[in-house]
Amino acid sequence: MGKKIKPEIEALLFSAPEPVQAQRIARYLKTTESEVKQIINELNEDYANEGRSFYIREIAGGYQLYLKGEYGILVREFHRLEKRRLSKGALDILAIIAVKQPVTKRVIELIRRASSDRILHNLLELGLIKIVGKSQGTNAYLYATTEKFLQTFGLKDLSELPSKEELERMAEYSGELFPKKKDENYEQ
Amino acid sequence: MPAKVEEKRFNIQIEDFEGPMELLYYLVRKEEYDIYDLPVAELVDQYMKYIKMMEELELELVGDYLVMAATLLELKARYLLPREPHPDTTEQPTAQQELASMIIEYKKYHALAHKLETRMIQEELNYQRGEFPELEIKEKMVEPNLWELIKSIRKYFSSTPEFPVKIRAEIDLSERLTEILFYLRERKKAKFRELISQRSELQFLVVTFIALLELSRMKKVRLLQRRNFSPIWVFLIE
Repeated sequence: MGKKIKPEIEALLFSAPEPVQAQRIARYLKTTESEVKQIINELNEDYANEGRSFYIREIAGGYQLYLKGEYGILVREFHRLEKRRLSKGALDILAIIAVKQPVTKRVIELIRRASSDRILHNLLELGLIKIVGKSQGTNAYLYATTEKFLQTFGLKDLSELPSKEELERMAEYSGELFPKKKDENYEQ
Repeated sequence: MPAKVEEKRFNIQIEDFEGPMELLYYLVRKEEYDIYDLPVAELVDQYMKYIKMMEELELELVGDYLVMAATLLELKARYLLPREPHPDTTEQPTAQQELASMIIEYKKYHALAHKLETRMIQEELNYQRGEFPELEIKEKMVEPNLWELIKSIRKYFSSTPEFPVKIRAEIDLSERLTEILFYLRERKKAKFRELISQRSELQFLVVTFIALLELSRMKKVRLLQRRNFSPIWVFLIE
């Protein structure tokens, strides 16, 4: 196999419509995870040297071919892609789920004090969240974020988001959460 | 003094609130209240003023806001009543603390949501191979919430120079309902705006609006839009 492993890894990534775990590639090609990562680095160096428009990105727990950001506008205009927009409420709910998952609707609604059925439904349809089970006591659905959530927000994994503890600490510095208007050149 | 400002701001701000907590947080920010020393009664009064304005729109979209109002009024009552010394030693949170922690808890996640939004915008130009997530979403339409419907009506109002309130024969709701169904049967779908503007009369608009909500509730039509702020379509369900 030896020499062919580099194009093989490239082939697997090239053909995948979603992030592929290094471990999975390693197991299939009977090599180690660190070797796979090493070769991915080499591939990225090759691409950079050759001035290619793409690179292999570590995202959502795996690796995937991505276009360099500088070609984004070109591609978007050529394929007439639309910008993706999420409402503020949807972002609030995603933030809660991301940190507190698995979490029930009740917990979400207790923080937002607003009914959240419609938004949860939409987020499920968009594949940004999923139902991972039911809570033992109440039998209510438990929600969690998906791989697509990580991709949408360009995250390697959930550890890139603040943890519950970090959020707790954030709350202690009222300055950060409740800045005085003077601090941010408030108009008028 | 704050009361004066509100009337003016109402139009701009009301559309942006995603729920009662955001409104509450907005009020704290606007008045620069110290989160650890909240003037509970004043804040609750401010909140109630907003709710009153919302109710003046005479639409039943204030449900969540009203539930919150009840909670707040209870907190206000507790805040104003002299506290009886608690028999047991465990300390109960005061109304002030409770309100503050409610807002802080929400704001924590709201701040994170803001970070997510920034990341999402950064990601917009990073395309992965093999799939365009946007394309998928583009084909998928979402159901507008009531804010969206109101925004749509407001837009229509503001673009119609004169809007006569004529006193004339009553427009029957069930008649209008049937009319809309007939109209939709011919063309399968219609723009929300198109339906409410078929006659420029306030009563007609109101009846059409209620008829559409009713048809949606009866699952005869589906209201959909491509994304927030885009035109709302009415689809016939067959």
